Amino acid sequence: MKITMEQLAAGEEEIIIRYKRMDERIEALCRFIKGQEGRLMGSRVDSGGQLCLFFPGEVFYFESVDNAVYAYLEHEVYRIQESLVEITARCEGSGFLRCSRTMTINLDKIERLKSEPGSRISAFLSNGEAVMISRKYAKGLRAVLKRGRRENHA
Amino acid sequence: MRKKKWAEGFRKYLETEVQVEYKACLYFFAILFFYCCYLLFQGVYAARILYMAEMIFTTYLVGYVQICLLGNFDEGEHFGGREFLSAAGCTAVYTLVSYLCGWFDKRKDATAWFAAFLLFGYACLFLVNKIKRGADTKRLNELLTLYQDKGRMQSARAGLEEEDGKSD
Repeated sequence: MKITMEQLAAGEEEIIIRYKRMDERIEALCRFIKGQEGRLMGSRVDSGGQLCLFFPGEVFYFESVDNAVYAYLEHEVYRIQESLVEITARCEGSGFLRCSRTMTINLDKIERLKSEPGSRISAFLSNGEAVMISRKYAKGLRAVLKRGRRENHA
Repeated sequence: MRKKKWAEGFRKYLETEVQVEYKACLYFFAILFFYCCYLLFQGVYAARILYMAEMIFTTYLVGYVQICLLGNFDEGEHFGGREFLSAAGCTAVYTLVSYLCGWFDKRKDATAWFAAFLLFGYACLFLVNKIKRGADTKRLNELLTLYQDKGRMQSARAGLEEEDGKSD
């Protein structure tokens, strides 16, 4: 199979597969490419920077520490290349919300919320961790929950 | 950068100011209620504006002390020894000012009832705030469940559509 790659100066990236017959190999290739859509890439912190792909839905929260952004999954921690602002914008549709200056949280991973004095909110995650959301960001959380989830964002 | 810091500082100041003014209004009305009841029991139907000005000024100052120095104890999670001492300290300030300014004609019995009324007021406000937060927690969790359920439904729908696409 001949592989042709072409660098684009502008416009949307596109993959064209030209085939004579849809066989298992082409089907597997399509599945692989489709499966990569929306995945995030990060280097695993506890295994010497091994590059891995993971879905945003697996992430409990993103945290910015010393100008590096980390994605916290149930058992693994990955360092990602995007900034916290970029990753928040990218994952907003998947239920992520900025909850402090250094953290973006996955609302689907919250087990329960607790109203705290001073209009703050405690978020208890399903991995047992608790995150305190300050009044400034709690306002945003209340607005998002009241508005509800937007359509077409799985 | 400096402008941003200034804006942040000003926003924080405004937030504190709003909290203090809310608290000042709340305690002013509580004190005014007691003062009006005291006057009514005396058969007096006119309240002194000067006393009211003293009251609002005192509640404003004590409001700042409550928020900035005493950790906003009446909105706290628990009402323990530290909170009780803070409430007693603020009550002592109000009682002393009421006595010195003669809000209750320097009568010791009325002043003592006033102190008891304030302590009771602090306890009530603590309970009201706690109940309010409990209701807020319940509402937040209801909204969170709705939000998460909608997400699950969307994922399931997307999965079904993908399956349909494959079978076509």
